[in-house]
Amino acid sequence: MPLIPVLCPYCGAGCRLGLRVEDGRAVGVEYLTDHPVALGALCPKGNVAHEIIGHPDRLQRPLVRENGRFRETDWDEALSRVAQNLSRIRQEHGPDALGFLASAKATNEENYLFQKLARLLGTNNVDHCARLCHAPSVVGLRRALGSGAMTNPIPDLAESRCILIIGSNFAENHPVVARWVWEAKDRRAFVVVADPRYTPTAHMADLYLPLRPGTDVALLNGMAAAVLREGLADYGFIAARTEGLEGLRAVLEEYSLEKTAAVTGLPPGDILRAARAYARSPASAIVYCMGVTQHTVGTDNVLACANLALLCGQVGRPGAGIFPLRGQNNVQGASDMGALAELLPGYVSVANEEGRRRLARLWGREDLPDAPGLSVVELMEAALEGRVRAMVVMGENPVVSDPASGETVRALEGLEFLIVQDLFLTETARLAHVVLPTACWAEKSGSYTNTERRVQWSPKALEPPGEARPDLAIIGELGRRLGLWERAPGPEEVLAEINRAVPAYGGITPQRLTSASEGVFWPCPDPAHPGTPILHRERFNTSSGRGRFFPVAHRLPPEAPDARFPLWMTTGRVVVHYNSGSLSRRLPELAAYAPEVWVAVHPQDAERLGIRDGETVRVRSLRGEVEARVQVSDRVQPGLVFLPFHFPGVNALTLKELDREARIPSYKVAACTLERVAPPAEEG
Amino acid sequence: MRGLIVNPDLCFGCRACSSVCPARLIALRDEDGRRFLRFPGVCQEDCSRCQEVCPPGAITLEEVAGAPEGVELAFSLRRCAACGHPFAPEKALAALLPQVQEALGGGDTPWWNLCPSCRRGLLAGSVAQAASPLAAG
Amino acid sequence: MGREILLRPERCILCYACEVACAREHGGQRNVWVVSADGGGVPVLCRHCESAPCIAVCHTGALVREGNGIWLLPERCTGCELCLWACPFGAVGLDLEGKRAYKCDRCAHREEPACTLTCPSGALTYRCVADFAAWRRAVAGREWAAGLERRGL
Repeated sequence: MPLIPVLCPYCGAGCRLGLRVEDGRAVGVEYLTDHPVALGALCPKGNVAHEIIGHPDRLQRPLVRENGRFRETDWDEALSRVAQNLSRIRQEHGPDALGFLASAKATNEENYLFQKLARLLGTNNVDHCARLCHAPSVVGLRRALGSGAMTNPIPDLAESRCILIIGSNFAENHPVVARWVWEAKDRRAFVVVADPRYTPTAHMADLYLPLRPGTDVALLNGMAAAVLREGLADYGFIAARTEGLEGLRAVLEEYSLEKTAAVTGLPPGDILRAARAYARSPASAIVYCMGVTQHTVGTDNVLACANLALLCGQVGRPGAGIFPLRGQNNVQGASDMGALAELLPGYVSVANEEGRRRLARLWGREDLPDAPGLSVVELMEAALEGRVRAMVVMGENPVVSDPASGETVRALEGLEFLIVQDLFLTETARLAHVVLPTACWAEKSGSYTNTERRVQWSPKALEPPGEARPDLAIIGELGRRLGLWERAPGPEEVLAEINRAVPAYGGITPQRLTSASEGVFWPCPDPAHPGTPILHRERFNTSSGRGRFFPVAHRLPPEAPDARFPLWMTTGRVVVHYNSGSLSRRLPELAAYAPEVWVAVHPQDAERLGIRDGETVRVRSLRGEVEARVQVSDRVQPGLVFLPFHFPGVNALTLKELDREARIPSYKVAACTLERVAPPAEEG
Repeated sequence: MRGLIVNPDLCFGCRACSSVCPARLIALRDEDGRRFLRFPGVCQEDCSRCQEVCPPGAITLEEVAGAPEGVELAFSLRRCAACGHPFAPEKALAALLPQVQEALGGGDTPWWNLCPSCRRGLLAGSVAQAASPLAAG
Repeated sequence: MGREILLRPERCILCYACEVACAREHGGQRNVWVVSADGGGVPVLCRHCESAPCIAVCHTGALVREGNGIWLLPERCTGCELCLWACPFGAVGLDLEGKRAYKCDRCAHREEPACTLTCPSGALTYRCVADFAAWRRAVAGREWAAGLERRGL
């Protein structure tokens, strides 16, 4: 029975699993112990990844919606409807009346071709869910270090002697990272975890910092200020490799331990202890994730992380780096491929005339659209206002995952034409005019880039069900029908074009990648280059070659608890589910652990509100409400409640306010209230 | 008639006979902290599984005059000292304890009064009790 | 040298991968229970005791000791539940429908147990006791050396 070494479709750790295929069906998974990050391990989701492939809910035929109901059709009718409507709307209202949501789950080749299609049609309105998660890393780290990506590979964490984990719950969301942090701990590394919630990740901490929601800049500034006051800054590194310290120093003046403690709610001694440990250790790492990025100050939070790392010379060496853990299996790749409204492939700004024209010429054009397009949340707003009239959604489920998701539903319902490509009839697909059935990851070959910038090839293991097709074939055929190119290209062909379009991928050729089971780290500018596991060893990728300090100040979140909504609300994830739950909620092996939404409430709040563990309450914010079962838990702080967002409706409550630079919404902080739900009437 | 005779002194209320009976003639019911085992008075089936598997040898199948009535035996179930759920007949626990203690080489068995789920909790540290069997390391 | 499933419970991150993997390997029935305690977790599974109370109470010979383990022979099991009551760790389960007890079999049908291969943090390991003890000693040694360092020795 063949064992096909495919990549895992879930998170950005990029594990590999051996798929057992029998008679064209996926029957099981095996552990591939030579994978450099996972060493064969799989989280619970990976353990039943094969169950997604043959799931009975898989879409097998194109669907068109007529009179409120879906009917099956063939590809010719479906694609010709799509092409006609897109052309017509473009003709009547201009290319910017179109919107394109790319997929952080699709391959690099698919995302590249997708954004190429959008841009050749004349719009930069192409974006994807990186906007909702690591856009601040793309913006902030690029500014400070010249590159928005994770600086060291995951196993490198074993070399760290101090690991500062802030706003990351990798124990649940990137479980294989835990092994490497434990390797470091076994070598006596000191682990600090900053999170308002006591998560399984916090359990690994030597020092746990339960900061108040939305006070990350204060904590990081407070630590940096302490480093300066104690004379622990790495002045050699600063002199040789950075610029802008004086500006930072000025802003940090006011971040005394007392002020930092007052803002964050942390003991001043703990802040100092964390600062000393981070600065003094021979190699320190900062691991961060959504708790840092998903705020209106997400970019500031990222810059504050970079400031601390540069101040202490903790970048560019084994064990010393900044680790933004990317969520999706290919969100790094989708970003690299330019599926972003203001960035072309390779992070060339659409405003960069030279870069833009170079790409245009590669595509046989004079020029490409130069105005930044609408990002994810802005696309929905534009749809509500009728400025965007048609959308193509590839492998995303914004009805569940968008902030203030009630508005997303209205926005999509109001579109003249909505096309959704997906594996299942998701909550978003139900609103579409045309639904296209796609092949899943195991049913197509292509490259994916994990959070470490490691590009890996995943081979095709079996045929898709029914008439489902890979996204690449769909986009390719659509582009042909729209007159953009002659024929639909295959994955190797597109990768070869990527080699020419994206310098960092220059040497990651199909031949090299299909035989490199450990993948290749970009930047890899030419085939002879070995790839770059650790960034910034000699120089930063900024124009000066130096890392830059960008002072930031603590700013209040856009919403805070008040009389009407007296509790902080935060959302997050749990290990058995994945994002919108379109995969994990369909598998009883996973869903049994968390079959329905709950709200975690601190015992003090529960007592004060008179609510009991297990009872159903209504959680309500200014934007919406959802019913959830109460879980009384001391893992949250008093005054803070937590909901997992894997269930439809939770995001109806979250805030749409955007970080003004990265345009990411403020998922992590909002104000809410809890109301008891009247018990069902007694019977008899 | 082949009578099914159960010795009420020996039977300690386990599941062996009710599980193996191919004709499901023996009924086991747990209710309100007690276990009830209802035995038929006769068994004309072609097997003697219940007699074979009964741990204390409480069941005898033999020819009898007439058609004896069945019996129902009742057992009180021990409630777990941690969660309070009934988990095993007191009489069975009493019968087994000496064998268990011998296997473990004597010593305390503070986990004995816990149900399997709470014993796992004791091992993990989520259930507080007197010294766990692993306290020594 | 006989390998066993040995735990580093401090590494357990409560991800339940072991439960899901075990269930997959055993037709939906898992032989390991991850118990949450104080923010961390401990996977509980049969310890294959050298002098086992479960064997002592089983009167059909369904539990046998062979090599470095204890094996449950389902065809001999009557589902009586005695072994559940005898196990100090609660590591034996009862399938009421199938009327059989079940417990960890170290994935006898595989080369290596699925739980030890799948564990993302390395809490569940498949090693012989000597290797495992050596590893623990090495870590303890570093702790001790660090203590000496702190005292300036």
